Amino acid sequence: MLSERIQKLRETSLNAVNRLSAERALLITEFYAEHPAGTPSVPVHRALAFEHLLRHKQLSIQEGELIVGERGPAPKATPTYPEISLHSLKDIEVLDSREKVSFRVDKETYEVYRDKIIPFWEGRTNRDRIFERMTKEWVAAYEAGVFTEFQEQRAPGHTVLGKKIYERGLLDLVEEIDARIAAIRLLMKGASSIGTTTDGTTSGGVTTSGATTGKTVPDTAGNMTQEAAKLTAQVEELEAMKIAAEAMIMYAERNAALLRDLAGQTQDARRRSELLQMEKVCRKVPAHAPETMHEALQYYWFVHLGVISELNPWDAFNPGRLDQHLLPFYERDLAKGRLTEASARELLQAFWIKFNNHPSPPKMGVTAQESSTYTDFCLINLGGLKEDGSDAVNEMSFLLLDVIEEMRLLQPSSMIQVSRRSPDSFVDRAIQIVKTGFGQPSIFNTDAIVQELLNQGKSILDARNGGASGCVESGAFGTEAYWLTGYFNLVKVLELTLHNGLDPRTGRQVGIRLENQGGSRLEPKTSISPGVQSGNSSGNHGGSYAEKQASNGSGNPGGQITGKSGATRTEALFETGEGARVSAQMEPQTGTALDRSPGARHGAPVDSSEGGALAFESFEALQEAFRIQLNYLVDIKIAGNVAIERLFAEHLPVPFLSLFIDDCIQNGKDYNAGGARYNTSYIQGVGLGSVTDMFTALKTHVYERKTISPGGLMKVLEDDFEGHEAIRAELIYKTPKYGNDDDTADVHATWVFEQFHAAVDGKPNHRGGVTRINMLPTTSHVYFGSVVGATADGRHAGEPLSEGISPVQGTDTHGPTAVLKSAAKIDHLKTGGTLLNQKFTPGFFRDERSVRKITQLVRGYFGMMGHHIQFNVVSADTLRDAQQHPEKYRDLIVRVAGYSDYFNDLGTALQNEIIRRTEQEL
Amino acid sequence: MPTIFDIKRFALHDGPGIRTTVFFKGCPLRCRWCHNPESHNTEPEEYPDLRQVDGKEISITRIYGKKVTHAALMEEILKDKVFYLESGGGVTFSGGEPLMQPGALIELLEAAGSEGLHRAVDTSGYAAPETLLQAAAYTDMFLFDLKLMDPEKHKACTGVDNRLILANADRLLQRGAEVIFRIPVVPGINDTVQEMNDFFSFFRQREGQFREVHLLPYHKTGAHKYRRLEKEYDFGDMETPGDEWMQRLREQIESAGVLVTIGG
Repeated sequence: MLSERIQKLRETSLNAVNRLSAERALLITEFYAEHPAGTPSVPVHRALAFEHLLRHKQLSIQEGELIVGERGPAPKATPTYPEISLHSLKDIEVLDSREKVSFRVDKETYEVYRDKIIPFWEGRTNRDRIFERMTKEWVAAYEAGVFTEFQEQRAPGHTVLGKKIYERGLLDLVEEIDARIAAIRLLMKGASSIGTTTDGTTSGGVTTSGATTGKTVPDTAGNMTQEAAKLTAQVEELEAMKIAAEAMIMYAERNAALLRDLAGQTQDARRRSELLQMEKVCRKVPAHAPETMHEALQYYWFVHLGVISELNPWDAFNPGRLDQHLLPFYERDLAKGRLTEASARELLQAFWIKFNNHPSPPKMGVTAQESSTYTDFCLINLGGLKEDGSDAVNEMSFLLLDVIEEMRLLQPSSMIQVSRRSPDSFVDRAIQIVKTGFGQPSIFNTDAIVQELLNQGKSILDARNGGASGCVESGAFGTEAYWLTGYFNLVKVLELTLHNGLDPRTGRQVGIRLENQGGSRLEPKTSISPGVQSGNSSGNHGGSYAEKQASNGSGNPGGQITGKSGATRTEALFETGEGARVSAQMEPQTGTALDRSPGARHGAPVDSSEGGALAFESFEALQEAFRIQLNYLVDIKIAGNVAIERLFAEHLPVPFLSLFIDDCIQNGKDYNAGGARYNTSYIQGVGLGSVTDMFTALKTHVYERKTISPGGLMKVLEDDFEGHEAIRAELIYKTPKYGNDDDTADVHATWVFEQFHAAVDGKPNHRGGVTRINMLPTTSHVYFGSVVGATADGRHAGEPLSEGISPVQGTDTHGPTAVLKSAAKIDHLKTGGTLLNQKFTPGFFRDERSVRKITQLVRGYFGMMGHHIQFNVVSADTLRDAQQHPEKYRDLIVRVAGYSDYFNDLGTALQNEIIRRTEQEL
Repeated sequence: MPTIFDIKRFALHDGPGIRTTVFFKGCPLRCRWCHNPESHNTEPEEYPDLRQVDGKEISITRIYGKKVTHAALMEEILKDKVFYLESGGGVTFSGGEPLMQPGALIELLEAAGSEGLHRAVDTSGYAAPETLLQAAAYTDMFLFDLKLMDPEKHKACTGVDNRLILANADRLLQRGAEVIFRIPVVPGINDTVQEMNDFFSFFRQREGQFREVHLLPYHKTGAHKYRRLEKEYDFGDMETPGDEWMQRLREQIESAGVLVTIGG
């Protein structure tokens, strides 16, 4: 089935050993040593560093390759990014020696790090800058495991390419840049003579086109200077983009020259003509717009390499809607006889292998030790809708599904977008591949994605051109900078609530300390230092947040929040109102409970002098306290995000990436500074299933059946159930659980979800956009579980939390339809993505009729506006055997949570969890 | 109020599409191999469910069987309506023997019909003819179990004569009802040459009156339930028939001109 060439390339890629390469670190260090950062301007300095890298990096072309270019000097030779974060010698040793997914480090690399890289960068990385600026409240919450920080070791990413490169070459972009620069220069002249200026930047997240028709501003010296500075910054950024574009053309030319040399050396006439053909491709793209599929793929690959070499953005980079982009080239090539279906297939396979050669950059510190997943989350989108709203499934969608099945590679990962208009045959075909048990493709609901994006204020065109990237994150492709900022541990918040803000693991005060003042309001006991928002004392979170930011602003070491606070406030107030309504619906008895105890209404623990230990007057009081803690901790996270986003805007622009995301060129503004049309920041909620089951258990046993006293339960949890096995059995087996379509439990899922949404949604980020939520864990539910003690749902201390919006492992006993019904009760359309994992044994897919029923199951979920579902098809016995005999299962890939990974590469805890996850037996 | 002992959602093999199967408690038959001993008696039965919790054995009292109101049961059935509509599925009433509680069954069939659900009844066929025909008026499909053709063997293995069952099968076919015959394949009991030839002749004679036969290989999931209920079970050690053997039986039955599915 696979050609000999592809088989060889695939084998080589699978067998290549991950190595740490010091090449990039060395070149960047060399450059920074000669050219001090920020000279002549920050963006131009970064662009020149990029140019230096591409001019001097070693080229690597493998025997038999059709698409060329590697990020490091060889496949899987992985560079580091010391300007972002610096590996210590100890980190390097850990990477070299750790059991899972090691990165080999040779002696030379070690010495280069010891003698050159570390001495130069120590104390000067962006990571150092980040930790210097974080408040002590932020650090306390971060260290307690309330949240993680994405940008601490990697640059902001999560962006996906649109169709731009298939229509325009880099020289076209340079032409556009020159025109923009000329226009701005004219304005600068005009501004100094007549005092009018232009505002070509974004407003409300939507570009105002026609920058030359700007508005008049008052003719004051201050405004003039500010305006001039802005225009100067735009010119600098545009100049940097131009340097970056030309650097990539130069790099392509270097590859072309090497291809010509190789052609001269080979004895094989067929290969010679191939190499000469490839040389031609590299001289055409990326400088000019592609005409053939080969040129389109090679152009994309150069862009991909540029983006992941410039910095180490999260989730690599992603061509997005590949079937849509490639179809016209494919059809044209077929018509002109340049390609056959077979040769097109081979070209696509050769392209696939390139992704697999690039593991994610190795982490450092504790994460280097613990992190056991090294896929780089490139997610190819197939299907979905066209711009005009019609079905986008085409011949290329099916051809690429064949390639996915035949290649069976970890990277790139793949997904299908299913809309109401997608044919069943398309979904069936995808499920037949899922059935082969390597976890791809995952399945997404286009109709939900489009509505999510519309809800965020995007245009219908941009929404239909969007999709999902990373794990499950919705985005407008080619026009949006949507940054994931960190996972957020909902279970930890409830644990802190039960201890009145104290972390029982460390004894540190992490949450807010609440005090019942006997009146109708609950106030924080300690004052909160500037820069961190205090927990709001009343219901109108959004409003008070914006007000306090406005008054707090400049004195805020956590970062100044600027921008459209007025608009945001209205939106947040609205959301809060909605959340309150939902909670009232959920708890019909609220009225009577409140009347008894006015203080309880606001979440005050009855006896706060003992650390709050669960002594809440009522369940509603507990909920209110949770809400206050949640808002307090979310606000700390957001203040940190704002500060970190500013650091990237000021110190680490990405002029190369900015070339490709609209409207960075138009705005003369960097991707990292808010140049994109849409700028969203996400916080990812983790542990929804666990926190739901905890609330249900507390309500059922402590507040309704009163079978255990609050103090009694706290003791049981403190003892981690030792000696309380019968109580643990009650908590596990005699409590309604999320995931069974039982409202008794599911109301708590929707309640927590609404609270989280209200706490986050609409709060401004640093880039003119706002913060939003999505619900996905990647592997953080394992880490987050490790920092939480025993919980009321019967979970032992340290065990993993539930992942995504899936039920707690093993608690869904009513089959997949019940899981989907429960999961659909939360309002997916308010998020930027949710993750639902369902594991099936192969028996579920045994014939076409069964496959079709799975398709119908998916459609039922999507009809309820579920965002995403993925299937793990493997038997538990197989997994256990794989744990015992890893050597026999070198290619066993499983879905982890939103992506697939080699089972062998997962840590034991994660392996055990996957085994435990409910198997849906027939 | 019907007494039921289980509700299984996402049932894929009890009729077309995605279904919910409702198991009625109480059965007139006592098949020796039955894997649902909790279905025999009409009344609810308590049993201790032993669970390992942190190395300690904790006993949790559970009850097989529950009287449920019509409204509660319909609510449960309708929970998966969205999936029935996507898949052309619906509800299957099984047991036990659903026709042992005819009033409740017919009420439910009627209600499911007015919700537009596809309705199937999984029956042993051992019921008063008038009851069966009454139910047939509200049923879209019968899953009709056949255990053995030989009346004496049938009585020995299930406790009842099969003449009523076979006559009822014909009543349904003559009425034009959609019927799928289901044979639990129990090694040594009904998969012998003689028995299979009998099934073959039965189907052959009725060619054109129905389309489909399901062969359900015996499986021993019931053994632990017998232990819980402190009942004897002499089939605990029997092996599930192998794939190859099932294929051979399938080919034989198929030659009677019907479509055969293994496992339903």
